[in-house]
Amino acid sequence: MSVVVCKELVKRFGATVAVDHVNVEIQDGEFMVFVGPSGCGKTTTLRMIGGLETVTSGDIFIDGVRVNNLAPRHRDIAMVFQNYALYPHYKVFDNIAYPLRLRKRPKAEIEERVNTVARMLGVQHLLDRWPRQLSGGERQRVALGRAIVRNPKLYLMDEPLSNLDAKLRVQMRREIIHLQRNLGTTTIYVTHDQVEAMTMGDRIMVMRAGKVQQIGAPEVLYNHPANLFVAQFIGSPAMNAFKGRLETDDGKIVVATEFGRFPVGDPLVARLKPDRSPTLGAREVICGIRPEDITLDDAPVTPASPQAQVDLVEGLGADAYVSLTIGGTTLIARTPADCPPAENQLVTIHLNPNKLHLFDPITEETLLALP
Amino acid sequence: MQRIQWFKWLSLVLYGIPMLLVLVFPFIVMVSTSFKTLEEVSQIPPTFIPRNPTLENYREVWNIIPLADHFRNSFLLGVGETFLIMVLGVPAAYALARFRFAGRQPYLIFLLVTQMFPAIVVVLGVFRVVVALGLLNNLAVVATTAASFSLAFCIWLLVGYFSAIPPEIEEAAMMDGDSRLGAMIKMTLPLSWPGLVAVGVFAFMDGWNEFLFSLTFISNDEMMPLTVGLFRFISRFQIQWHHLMTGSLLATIVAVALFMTVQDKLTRGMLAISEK
Amino acid sequence: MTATAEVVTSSSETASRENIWRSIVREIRENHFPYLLLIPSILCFAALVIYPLVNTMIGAFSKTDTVGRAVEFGALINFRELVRDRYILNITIQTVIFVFGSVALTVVLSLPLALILNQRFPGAALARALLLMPWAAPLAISAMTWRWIFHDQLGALNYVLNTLNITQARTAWLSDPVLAFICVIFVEVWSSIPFMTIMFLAGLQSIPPHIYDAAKMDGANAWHEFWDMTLPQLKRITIIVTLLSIIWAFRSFNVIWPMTQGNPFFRTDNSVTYLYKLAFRSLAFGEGYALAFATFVFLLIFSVVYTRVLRSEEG
Repeated sequence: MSVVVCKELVKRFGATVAVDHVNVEIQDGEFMVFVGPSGCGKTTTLRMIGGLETVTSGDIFIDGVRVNNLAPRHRDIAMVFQNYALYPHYKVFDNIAYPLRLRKRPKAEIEERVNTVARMLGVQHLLDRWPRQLSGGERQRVALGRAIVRNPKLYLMDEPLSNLDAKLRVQMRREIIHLQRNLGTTTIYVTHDQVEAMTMGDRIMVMRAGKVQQIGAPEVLYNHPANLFVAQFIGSPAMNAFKGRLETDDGKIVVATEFGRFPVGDPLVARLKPDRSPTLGAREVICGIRPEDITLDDAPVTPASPQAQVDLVEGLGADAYVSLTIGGTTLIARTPADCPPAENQLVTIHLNPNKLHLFDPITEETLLALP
Repeated sequence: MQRIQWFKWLSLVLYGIPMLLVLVFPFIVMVSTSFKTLEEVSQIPPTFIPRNPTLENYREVWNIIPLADHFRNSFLLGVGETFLIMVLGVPAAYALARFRFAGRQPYLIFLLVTQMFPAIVVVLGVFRVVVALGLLNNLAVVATTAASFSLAFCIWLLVGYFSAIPPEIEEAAMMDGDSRLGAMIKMTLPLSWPGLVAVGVFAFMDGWNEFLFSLTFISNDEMMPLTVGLFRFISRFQIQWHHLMTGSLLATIVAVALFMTVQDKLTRGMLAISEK
Repeated sequence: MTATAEVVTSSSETASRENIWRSIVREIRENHFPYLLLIPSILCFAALVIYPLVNTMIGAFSKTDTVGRAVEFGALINFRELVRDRYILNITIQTVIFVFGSVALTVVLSLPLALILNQRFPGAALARALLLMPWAAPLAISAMTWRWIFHDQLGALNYVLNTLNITQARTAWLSDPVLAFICVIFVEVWSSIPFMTIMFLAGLQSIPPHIYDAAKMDGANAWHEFWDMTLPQLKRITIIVTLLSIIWAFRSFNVIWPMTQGNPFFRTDNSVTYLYKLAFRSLAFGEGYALAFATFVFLLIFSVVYTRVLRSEEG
């Protein structure tokens, strides 16, 4: 069993708080992704789990043992670094063999395990090379090999794909997912790339400014973001956000914005947190809607329906991003690419009433409870 | 483009080459004088290219000056200083390069301050102690004082070389199961080897070229290094320039040859210091 | 969550109780590691830098005997002695001219040399090797060689001047106070040019080449490239190398002593050689301590002011 628990974890560098009371529990065999913009404390958290940074306060437990003061070598963790950190003065074979040599494994066993791992990763023909002779992707494979050769309790990966080019990144992403599924070893993966987080993680922890924003499965983060930051960080293009007010129209709850009134679907109304009930009167909110939940309509315009001007259409093949201006607000909608509107055209917009997101304008926390 | 080419050659011929000639002039004179006989050296007007070149000086000088002793002593000073700089400087520089600890900045400033006073202050400060302990004419004392005096500069150099090794390599080694010390010895030290060699040679040359401490702490001919030995030689006798220049040339060749092997690494290290 | 945490706390407590000694050792090894690494160098500095410095300071304010021992508190007696010294005014002026004159000349001569050596031409590698020789050679020995070159009857300098018909005189370079002073400055400059030039060269080579491309596209000619791109890029390194050179020139002993020992009539002495004479010729240790202390304080203040002024200029 490999469970990692961080309790009230804090790291200060002088006056700056890099990690601010982080609580997270990582399950056995789980692929956990820490994601956030640069400087949000995700890497520092990872390095504290690895023992490369001291803990200012709080506790880290691995398999129930408090490891705060345990040296990295006693934690039985393997780590893959952003710049690979291959040992430049060792050949590939010796790079992979190094952890086993430190553990004084017999020679034959080292030979056999290095070869197995090298075959698994497709680098067996490179064993005799120096790290500087390898391409980025090959280096990454060797770094992975060095991590998995000794069957550690836990893998830590610190943005391992960010130095690779786009195509290779997608390929290595899949390989790492396969590898982790096959080995079944608990893995913590740090990235600033939300696409990587969404595609790889069993669960994701979103961080900002040292604080945990939300922890959950990718679809939970996407469909039920806990706050405006998570809503806009996850998903591309980012969720549209604009000011609005919850009002009642003929017993139906609508969100009134400066460019129109949009109905709020009944399932959402049911999820509105009780203390935030709009029955007390009009309530200011920040309203969010994902680009794919906006539909455009160039049908004859009725005076009631809100009209937007198309600024720019970016075709991506399968679908198109449409930038719209309506009142003072800019919205991005995602439409099928086969019938995009023309630029400068006027269109009517419809927001999917069941896919609206509502946030408190001051705390930016969601007003909706989980279903 | 044409004009630039022309300007380049003109500046080279009018400034570059004459400057270089002045810079190497003493070494040309050393070579020239070392092949002259006593008569030719004392002839007016002098000659530039020896009329009767002789290798006699290279044989005689060893008997006239205790040159072999001087060579040995200079060598010992060089080796001693290298050893001390490595033992004292490498751990300090490693700590300064790898850790952000309380007192790091003050220590770096302290290193800078040690550069602010002339070596003679150290001589004045320790002379009485050296005399009282009967440590005059002791090469180890000279090597130690000289080393402490250039230690600060060498630490600065070493910090630069160590900082150039990515810390992730050590971190990876620690994750792989190595201790802090093991990671330092197995990763950072081998990887910064060229820098270590450069600083080692620098320290050796510092010992080899040492003058002031030996001048004050050593009075015994057999214990003198080359610099002081040759200096005493000119102040003591009717100056025999042909012998002096022969000895000087031999002393210089060793230093210059060593220096050339590491100059590239050394200059880059110094550049790194000045960029901070 | 809570259940896990409880299990966890108790097991870690037993673990830590068993390993208390190991954990203390580990604490020292891991957290105090940097301090341990500093101990050897600190001991060395304490014995051979701080101790002599403190000794000198105490000595400066004490009455001293003929072996330099501080006998009793003397307040400013040594400084009074120093001010009354008939040579001290000359020595001070000479030191200042020696330091700033030689550093200024070195900068002025080195920059063009670096620009020339930065070009591609056949033999560039040889030229760079030759450039470094004065730096690599033992300075005391080079200075003695210059003494031989400046010899009035037999020296190479007069020979070269006579042969080129610049003068027929056999100038006694090191006997005339003014000429001798110029000569020691010349040799100091000669010995400092390699370091300064090589630093400029390294600085030139670290200028990113694309800024020249950009400047060309913006319409700069070779002259603009030099004034607007090269010089500003060299500013930082010039500031630092100049400071280093000034500090080193203040400490300079190995040029003057082998060449002239301050002769004639103390007219080529700088503060360091004079200090040496005070202590080891006149046995006036007290005055020597006072001069050493004054030099140190001056250099410290100078360096602080220099870096402050230049840093504020950089903004």
